[in-house]
Amino acid sequence: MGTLFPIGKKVTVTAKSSVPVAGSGDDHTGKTGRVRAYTDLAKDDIIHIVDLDEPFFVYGPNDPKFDQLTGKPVQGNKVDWIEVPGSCLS
Amino acid sequence: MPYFYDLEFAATQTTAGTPQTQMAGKQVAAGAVLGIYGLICAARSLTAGGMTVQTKTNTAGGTVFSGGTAQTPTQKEPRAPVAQSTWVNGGTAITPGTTLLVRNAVGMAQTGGTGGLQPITPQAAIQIEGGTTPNPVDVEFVSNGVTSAVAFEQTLEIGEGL
Repeated sequence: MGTLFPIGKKVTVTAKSSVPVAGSGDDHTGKTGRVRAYTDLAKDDIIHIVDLDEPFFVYGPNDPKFDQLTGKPVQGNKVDWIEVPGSCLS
Repeated sequence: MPYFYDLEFAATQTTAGTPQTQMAGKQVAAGAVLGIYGLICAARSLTAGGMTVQTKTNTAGGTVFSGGTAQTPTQKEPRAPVAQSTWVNGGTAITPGTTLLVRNAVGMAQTGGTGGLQPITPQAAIQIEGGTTPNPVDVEFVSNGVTSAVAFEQTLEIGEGL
């Protein structure tokens, strides 16, 4: 896997991960980025950490979704990397 | 000197008397030594009571935590490189690792008394060695309290390198 996806390689997520890796647990299919690092090298399907080209935003359990004064939507917390098994990348 | 970073998470102890993993981190393969240089917690409940946050390390060979919402450590020095270690918060449920060892616990008052811990020297910090397989494999922060629905803030200060 490390040969297929060396650090810095541009990758696209092609499938939803079957394991609950970090990155809000959503389906990240279609997101693009570059391989930043690896984890779980002891496992067959190495988990890759991917720096995303386009960060997305999530809300924590206490985070307001709207500004109390203006009523405008609040952006949420930026997620700029995800973890994806190598089998979900191309 | 290590590069220093911080992480802040607005957490909730949703269920009374139940340990909840609020933050967790791990070093990537071949990463620098990761040290925990600060843990600061402060709650804001109207109900008096006690809370704790435990620091746990996952012994080498254990299954690493999974899930969580990705969170990027913020550099103290804005020109410092991005952190190598990867962190998640409990915005999405974190599944704990399997061979956890409690290393310390800090207490705080549910009504606002701050609790925290800073190692007296860098060598006294809890550390994760980088390597092909980091050791320990992760570090996790677990809250518990006597009341449900307690909002609290948790701040971590971490350093990478010697």
